[in-house]
Amino acid sequence: MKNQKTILIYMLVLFCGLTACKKALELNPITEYADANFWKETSQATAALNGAYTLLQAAMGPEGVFYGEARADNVSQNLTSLNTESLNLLTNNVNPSLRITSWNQLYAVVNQANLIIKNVRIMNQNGLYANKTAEFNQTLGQAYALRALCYFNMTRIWGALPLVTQPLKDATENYLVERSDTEAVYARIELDLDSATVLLPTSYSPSQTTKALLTAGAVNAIYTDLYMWRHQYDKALTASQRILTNTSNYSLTSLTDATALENTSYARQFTHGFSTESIFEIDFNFAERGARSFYIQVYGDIGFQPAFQVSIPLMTKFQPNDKRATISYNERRDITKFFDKTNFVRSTMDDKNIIMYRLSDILLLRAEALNQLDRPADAIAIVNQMKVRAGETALQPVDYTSLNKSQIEDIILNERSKELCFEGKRWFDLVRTKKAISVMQPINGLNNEDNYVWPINLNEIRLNPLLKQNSYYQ
Amino acid sequence: MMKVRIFKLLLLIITFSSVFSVAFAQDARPRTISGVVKDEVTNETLPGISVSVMATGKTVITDKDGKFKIDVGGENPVLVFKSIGFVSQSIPVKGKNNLDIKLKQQLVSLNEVNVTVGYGTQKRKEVTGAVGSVSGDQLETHPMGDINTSLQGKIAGLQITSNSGEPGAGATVRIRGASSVNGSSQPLYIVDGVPINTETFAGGLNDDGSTFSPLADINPADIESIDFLKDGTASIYGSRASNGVILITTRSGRNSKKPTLRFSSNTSIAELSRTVGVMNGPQWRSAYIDAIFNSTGQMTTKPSVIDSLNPNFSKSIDWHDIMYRQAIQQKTDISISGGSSDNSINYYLSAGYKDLNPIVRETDYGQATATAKVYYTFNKSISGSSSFNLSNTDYTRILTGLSGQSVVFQALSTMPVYNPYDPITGQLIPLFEGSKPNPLAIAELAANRIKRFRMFGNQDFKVWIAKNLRFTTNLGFDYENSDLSNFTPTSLLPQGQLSSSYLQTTKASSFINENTLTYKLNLKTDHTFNFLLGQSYQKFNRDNLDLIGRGLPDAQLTNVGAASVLSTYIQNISQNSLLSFFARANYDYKGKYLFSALIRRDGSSRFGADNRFGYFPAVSAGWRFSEESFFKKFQFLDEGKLRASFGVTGNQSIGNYAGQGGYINNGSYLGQNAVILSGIPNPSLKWESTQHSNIGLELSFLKNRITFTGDAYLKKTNDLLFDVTVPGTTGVSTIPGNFGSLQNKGIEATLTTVNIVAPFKWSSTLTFAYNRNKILSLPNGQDYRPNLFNMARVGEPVGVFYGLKKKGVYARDEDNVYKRDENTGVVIPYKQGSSNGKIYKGGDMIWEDINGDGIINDDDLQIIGDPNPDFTGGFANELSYKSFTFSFLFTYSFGADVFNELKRSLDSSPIDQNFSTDQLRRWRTQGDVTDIPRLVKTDPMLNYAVSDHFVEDASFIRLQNIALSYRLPKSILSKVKISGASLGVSVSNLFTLGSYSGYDPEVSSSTNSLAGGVDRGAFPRTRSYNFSLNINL
Repeated sequence: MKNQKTILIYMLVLFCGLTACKKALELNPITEYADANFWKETSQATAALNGAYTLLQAAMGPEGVFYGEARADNVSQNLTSLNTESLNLLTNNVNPSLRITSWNQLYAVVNQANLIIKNVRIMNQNGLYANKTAEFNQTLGQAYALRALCYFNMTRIWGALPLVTQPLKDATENYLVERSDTEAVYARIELDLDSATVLLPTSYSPSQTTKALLTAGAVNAIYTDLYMWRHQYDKALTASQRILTNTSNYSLTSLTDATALENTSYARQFTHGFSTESIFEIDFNFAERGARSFYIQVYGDIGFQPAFQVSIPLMTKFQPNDKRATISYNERRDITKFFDKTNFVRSTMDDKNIIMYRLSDILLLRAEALNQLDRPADAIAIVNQMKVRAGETALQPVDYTSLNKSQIEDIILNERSKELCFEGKRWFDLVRTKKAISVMQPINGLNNEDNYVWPINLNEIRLNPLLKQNSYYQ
Repeated sequence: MMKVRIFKLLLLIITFSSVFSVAFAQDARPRTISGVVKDEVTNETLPGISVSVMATGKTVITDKDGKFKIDVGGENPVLVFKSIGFVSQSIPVKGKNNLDIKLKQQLVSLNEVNVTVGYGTQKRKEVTGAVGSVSGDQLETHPMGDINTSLQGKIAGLQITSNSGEPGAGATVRIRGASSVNGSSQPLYIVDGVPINTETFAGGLNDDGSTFSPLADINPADIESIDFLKDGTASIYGSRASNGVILITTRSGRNSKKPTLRFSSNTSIAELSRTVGVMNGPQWRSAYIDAIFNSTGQMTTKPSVIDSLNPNFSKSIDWHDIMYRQAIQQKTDISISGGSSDNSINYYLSAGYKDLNPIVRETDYGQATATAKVYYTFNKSISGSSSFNLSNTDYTRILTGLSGQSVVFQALSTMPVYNPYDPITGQLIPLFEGSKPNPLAIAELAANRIKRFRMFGNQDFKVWIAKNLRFTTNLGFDYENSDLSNFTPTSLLPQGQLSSSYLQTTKASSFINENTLTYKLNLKTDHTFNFLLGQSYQKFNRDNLDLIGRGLPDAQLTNVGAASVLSTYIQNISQNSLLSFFARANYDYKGKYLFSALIRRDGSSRFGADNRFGYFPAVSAGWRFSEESFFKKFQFLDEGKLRASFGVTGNQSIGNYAGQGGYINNGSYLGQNAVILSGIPNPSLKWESTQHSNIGLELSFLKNRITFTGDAYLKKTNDLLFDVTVPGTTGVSTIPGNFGSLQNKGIEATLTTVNIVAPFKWSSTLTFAYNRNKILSLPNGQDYRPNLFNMARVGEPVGVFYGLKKKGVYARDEDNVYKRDENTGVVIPYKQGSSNGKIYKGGDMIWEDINGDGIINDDDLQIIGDPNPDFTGGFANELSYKSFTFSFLFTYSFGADVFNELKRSLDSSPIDQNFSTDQLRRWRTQGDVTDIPRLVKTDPMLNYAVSDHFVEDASFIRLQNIALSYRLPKSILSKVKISGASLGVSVSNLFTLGSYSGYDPEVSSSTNSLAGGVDRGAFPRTRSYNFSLNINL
């Protein structure tokens, strides 16, 4: 009798088990968002946008230094360095097995931007952004600008690119994408900038975020850079003019506004960030999960084995009274520009912001454009503005009136080289002005324009058979 | 209930007594016969032998000295001597009063042994699938090992490759080749009916590539037997059975009435079994000067190189001697088993402790285990059992792999000129020249720890509803808690890097409920049916907390809480569940024709609603032709069986929410929460399925002196389930999916022979397995290369190595001739990488230019090796004479290749470090003919690219174990009231024959078959000398 009861109970349990079957197998993520449960609130879209910035942090810190400096003449090899990348790049032994040739982290930003662009528009259609137009515009606009920024950097590095503008819906979609030619890439960048510029405000609050988030000003900086890269000087002037007129947000820093040089607003823009000059910088804050830009891996006390030290050619460019030299490096050839000269704690203060665009950069690009448009005096005026601020003597008309366009361009480039040294600009300056071979051949033997673009990383080539390696590296 | 039982017992006694009295009455001349029973071979007295009078059935049992006394009567009385394990004897005792009986040990036919086949057992002769078995006694010869290492070489078709020589190390366990390409293509392990977690885990957040196996939580001393379902019949476990099922039965108190205490103690001395050749001080100086000069054209200014008189750099140190030691290891086990007189309750309790000090300095491993298992019978129709297994492990380890903090790698790569101690102060130097960590300092100052607690067990009830109808319900649980921590102090890091503390705590649990109905039906005695109907539900929970803290104040506080900033804090909770229904029918006609059919329906929470359920059927049949009348004339044949099976098994090893895609937190930006994409959804994700066909032949000859089992199989796996590496343009690194198919086919054989019977006994077992693995299809037929070394290509085995093929080293610059211009006669040389690449010069590698374009690049890569062995197996022997037993076990593996990444890391010299002794042969000047290219720091010509230069033959024959044991004579033991004792000495891993130049040819840094066979500097395997003492009370 007792047995039968027990059996009955178990049969019941068994039966319950059967009926609960559907439920038992429906398990959803607990500590993460399921794809189906995301993009349901506007705060999620904002968090996704912040996510895109964290991905940009990973993509540029300190890779941006390698992209913009390692193949150029402002830095040279620190012989005690343990870094394989730096030696190979400095000696122009750029090969597709180098880790730095991978574009994965930049594409991660692009993909995150693609997701935002697609989904916030759907959210908007669904009315989630009702009464939140400003929030919608800011989110969407920054996503466009981020995508443009990444594609622009990537095309300057690798040339033609697989143009991905839609996120994968699911794993069943085809994910092998061919490279589009550079014209198509430029068109896409311009289109994205056009979209962003109408959406983005000139500033955010709190005011610090104006520098560390993409604004209309930042979009204009990217426009300027893009048009200069494409030698569209009129357009570059127009775009840069929009920054110059925005004086409430952008003004040059000073090298004389403090008794100690390192406390001047000029010096502090590199060590503390968020200067009046800054147009867009990637913020790093050690207090936020130990975020670091890893500048100590590339710059600083050579005894600590950073990849680079200042090069002799750059040191000779500075006039003796140029205060920028004192800020940028020291007599041991340590690159000190981004580090506090006193009380620098290498471990916890390695969170220096990466300055992507600042006013001096835009001004000097303008100078290049003015020179190209046969306005050398206007161009030199900008150069002099930089020189005088730094304590150098200004160029007099006699110094340049006899010079041709290319020679004046050299003056501007030299000024850029001093003003923007170690900020990841030099290599692109040389490529843009087609002076890379003449400058670099004596140093590392660079002798072929096809060698300007970087190789596509081997792994990527292997995983995507549609990709053709850049011709120089075939 | 108890009262009833006592009453029954009394009744029984009364009945017996009355029978005796009748016997007395009938016999006119009753007399008492006494005697002693001994083993024919060892001449030891045998207790517990049943002695009965054939006529009356009256029975006595021999006492502890083998003596008996029995009253007999009647005409020509005959005594029968019987015991399990001995051949019964019938002795006429007419006229004899004193007997000296010698019993002969019976060669137990394996066919009578019970085999666990999943949800039940069968006699081996009834089994229709391919099942391998190992008894617990066979594990005992390998006392310090874990389950994985103790099983090596014992089962044909079971290939176990330890991932390292660390205690508790993970292993790659393959039954019949790699049938999956996902991370955990491991078999399913079932302990006493409960599937347990055996997924290998990494050594913490500071991932050094080491893996550990949860199987180490089980004490091999508690194992009674292990059975392996190798073929399609494993589909009774459906979804997780693609890689076979390993069923572990733990020891119990069954068949024992009086309490038995077993005690065993083992002590081992372990040491490094092989070293890897690296340069000494002067050799290294010369090589380093070359490397720098060849790279920069300048003499190095490195003080450690140029200043050989500096006391800091004046030594020539062999870091092996400093970092490795002879370690004393100990293991003690104690168990008690017993039961009530009617065996309605029986129990097994055990406790064990092992102290496996690894051979690297400053490491320590301690593990305590305990089990309890109780069976109880309430009444005729209800019985139950409860069991618990506990394990607590505390392991202080060092990092391995190729990382800068790896002692294994640093012991090889640290420059031999460094003095570990400051020559003036005598203090340990943490960092040499400001950047290179001193391996001894790593071992002393860094703290890496694994603390782990595991508990699993089950509770079941069996209810006989009707005579042959049984209902079983089983509740099982498996819980583990582990804390993996790593601490790296500032002193070991180049200046500016922060001290760090990592903590990963994992709580994982699973709960299972299974309900089965079994029914046995006999029709006209010739037809036997067995039916099984069941349902199972298992739910898994996992809670991970990952913390990385940076900037600790000093080396005194090493916990993550002491960090100034938490750079990572991730909590990850996940669940998955499986719901299954299954049925099986077995039919047996006269024990001659055997049929079995089964089906399992599994539902997994990991798949979307449309693909959630999978069906896994299997059919099998056996024909015991030795039972046929026409075969009876072949007297020499004891048993012959032909069997065949076909089954479909599944695999669901993919992330819990892989199909759903998702977003995760990624810290913050400007203080605001940040979320990023973590996975792309795949709604069509579905089961991977394996079709498994098998035919087998089992033969026993000459009174079971020769037993042969042979199997041939074909396994085809479709819809391979894995996280496929995708191009970076997708924004993610992998996406989950079902891609491609592969097959394994092979044969395996086990031959057990009793070569000599008595008094000297020699038996041996040879296992052999041959497997061919081939990829049948991949998406669009394209090659898939998830990493630098391995690839998947249609028509090739899984994970073949892919790289350049070398043809030598250019002796002179002018030897580099691709072709000559026909008109001008100008030499066109081979170039590296591209048409604009550098020209190979004397001392560079000569690579095979497959496409003949004069450029050595990715187009010239080819398959250069195969990590899958062609055949594997073992050869076990046991020789015994009187009280001595001598055994040895060889294991072997032929045809596999290993990629020596450890050597590549040393010689490609991306950073300043020591080189392998290969570099003594390096090319130095024009005209040198050698196989080792010149040394250039950072290797601009990529002479050290992935190539066959680093592919080595991993074939080996290993003397896995050699042991001698001596059973102490009963005569001595009886005086101290001990029923059995033995002493033993053994050596594990005494030698390995093979050409591999690394630590051990049996190395796999990964359990993933698409990343196998790469030696990334795992913890070296040890050789150990063991002394053991076993006592039974």
